[in-house]
Amino acid sequence: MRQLILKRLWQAVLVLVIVSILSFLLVYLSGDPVKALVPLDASPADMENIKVQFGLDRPIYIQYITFVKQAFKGDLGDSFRYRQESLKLVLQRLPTTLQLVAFAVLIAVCVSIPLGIFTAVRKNSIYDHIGVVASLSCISLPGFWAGILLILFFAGYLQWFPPSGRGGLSHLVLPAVANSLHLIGLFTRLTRASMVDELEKSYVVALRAKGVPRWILQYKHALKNSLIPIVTVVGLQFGALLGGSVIIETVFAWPGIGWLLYSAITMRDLPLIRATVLVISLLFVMINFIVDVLYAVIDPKIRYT
Amino acid sequence: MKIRLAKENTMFNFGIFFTGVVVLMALFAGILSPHDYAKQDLKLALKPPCWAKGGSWTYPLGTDHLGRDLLSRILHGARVSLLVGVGSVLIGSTIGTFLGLISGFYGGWIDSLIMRIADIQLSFPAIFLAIALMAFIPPSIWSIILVLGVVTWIQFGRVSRGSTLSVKEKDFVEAARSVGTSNAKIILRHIFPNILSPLIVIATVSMSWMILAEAGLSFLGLGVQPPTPAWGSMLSEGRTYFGIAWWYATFPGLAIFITVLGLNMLGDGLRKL
Repeated sequence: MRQLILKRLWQAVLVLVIVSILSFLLVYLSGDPVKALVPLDASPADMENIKVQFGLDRPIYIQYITFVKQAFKGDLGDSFRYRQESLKLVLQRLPTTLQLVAFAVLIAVCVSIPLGIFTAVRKNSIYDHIGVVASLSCISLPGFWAGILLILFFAGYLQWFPPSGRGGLSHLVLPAVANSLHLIGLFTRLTRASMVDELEKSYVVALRAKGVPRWILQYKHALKNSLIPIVTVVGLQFGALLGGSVIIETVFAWPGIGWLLYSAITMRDLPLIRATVLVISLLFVMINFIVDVLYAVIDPKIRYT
Repeated sequence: MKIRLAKENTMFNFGIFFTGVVVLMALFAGILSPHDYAKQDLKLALKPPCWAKGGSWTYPLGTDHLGRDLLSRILHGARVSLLVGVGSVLIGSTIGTFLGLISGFYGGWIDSLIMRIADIQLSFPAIFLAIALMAFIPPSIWSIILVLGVVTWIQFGRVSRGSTLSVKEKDFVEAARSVGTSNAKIILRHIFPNILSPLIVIATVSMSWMILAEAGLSFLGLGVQPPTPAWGSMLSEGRTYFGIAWWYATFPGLAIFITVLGLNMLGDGLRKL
C-alpha cells in the first residue's frame, strides 16, 4: 500500500513538472510571446517594457526557472484586466466552481445509480430499452445547448428559476442540472453494464440456487461489487467537469474559474489564463491521485505494476 | 450475413439512419439550401419558423439576427461538423494506431515511454486540453482538427496496443516470422488488419466526441470563425437572442444533438455486430 502511494505520488510530481513546462510554453504557441503577453492596444514602448519585465530577452531555460521560482512563491503575475495577482483571483473563484461541480455530481449519482440498477435487473424489458436510449441521449446532449433550453423553459417560460448569475440555491439548480445531464447518461450506462456483468457471475447463480431472496442478491451482493468501477469514474468525471465548466459557466454567467478562464481568453489576459490552467491542472492531478489510492483501498486486488 | 444481423440491431439501424441524414445534408447542402447561407437582409432579421405565428415557408426554420436563412446555415454547418469529425479522427487514429502498434509489438522501453506519455495526457480531461491549446493557437477549422486529433490519440493507442499484444502471439505471426518476413511487413500485413474492428468502433464514438468538442470550442469563440457557419458559433450567437427568438439557438443545437446521437448509436450498434 505504502509503495503504491509513493509510486503514484512520484507520478503526480512528474505530471506537475510537465504541466509547468507546458503552461510556460503556451505563451510561445502563438508565435511572438511578447504580442501574446500585451493587450491588443499596446504601444511599442509597452511591448519593450513587457519584454524586459517578463525577462523574455533572456535564454528560455532561465525564463523557465524564474517562472517556477515565482510560481512557488505563489506569484503567477498580475492579471492585465483586473490589475490584481492572478493566482488570488483564481483561488477566490474556485469555491464557486467546486460548489457547482459537486452539486452536479450529487444530482447525477442520485439519479443514475438507481436508474442503472433498475434497468439492469430488468434487462431487455421495455424499461431497459427506454433507459438505454435515454442515457445515450443524455450523453449526446451538448451541455451548453441543454443549458440554453433549460433557461428558455424554466427561467423564461415558467419563471421558476433565475436565468443566470449566482445567489441562493435557486441560482444553482439550472446550471447544476445542465452540467449533470451528461454525467447521468454516463453513470447510468456504467452502473447498468457493471450490474449486468455482476448478476451473470457464478457466485450470484450459486446464491440464487441456494434460495437467497432476489432483492438480497441484487442489492447486498451484486450492487456492492458493481459499485467499484463507478467510484473511479465518478472521481475522474469530477475532474472532467472542472475542465468542461468553462462552457457551462459561460452559458449561465456563473462566476467560477471556468467563466474567469473564458473572459481571460477573450481579453487575451495571459497571466490569468496561465494561472487558471495551472490551478485546474493541479486539481486534476490531486483528484487523480486520490481516486487511484481510493480505488486500491476499496479493491485490494488492484496492485499497480 | 452481416445484413441479416443488422436487421435485428435496432440501435445500429437508427444510428445509420441519423448519420446518413447528416452526411446527405453535408453533401447536398448546396442543392438543398433554399437561400445563400451568407446573404444578409436586416429587414428579414429574426423571422420565426414557418409553423409559428409570423413565419413563412420562404424561411422554413426562420432567420437569424442578420436575416440569413437558418435552414441553409444549418445545412452548411453540417459540412463543418463532419469535416472536423472525420479530419480529427483521421489524425487521432493515425497517431494512436501507429504508436499503439509499435508499443505493443516491440514492448520494452518504447512501450513504457509511449504508455507513460498516454498516462500523463490522460490525467487531463481532453476538452480542457483542447480549450487551453486553442486559447493560444490562432483559431481556424484546420487548427481545431489538428488539436482535437492530437488530444484524442490515446484511446486509439491503448486499444491498438492491447489488440497487438494478443495478436502477435498468434501462430500466423510466428509463421510469418519463421519465413523471414520483416517486422514492418508483419505489423502492416498481419497485425494491423486483425486489430481493425475494435478501432472502427472507437473511431465512430470518438467522432461524436470531436463534433461535440468542436461545437463547444466554436461556442466559446475558439473554434471555427464567422462567416463560416458552424453549429457551435450559431448557437452562441443565438444565445444572445433567445429571449426574443427561441428558434435561433434551438435548431443548431438540435442538429448537433442528432448528429452526435446518431454516431453514438452507430458505435453501440457496431459493438454488438
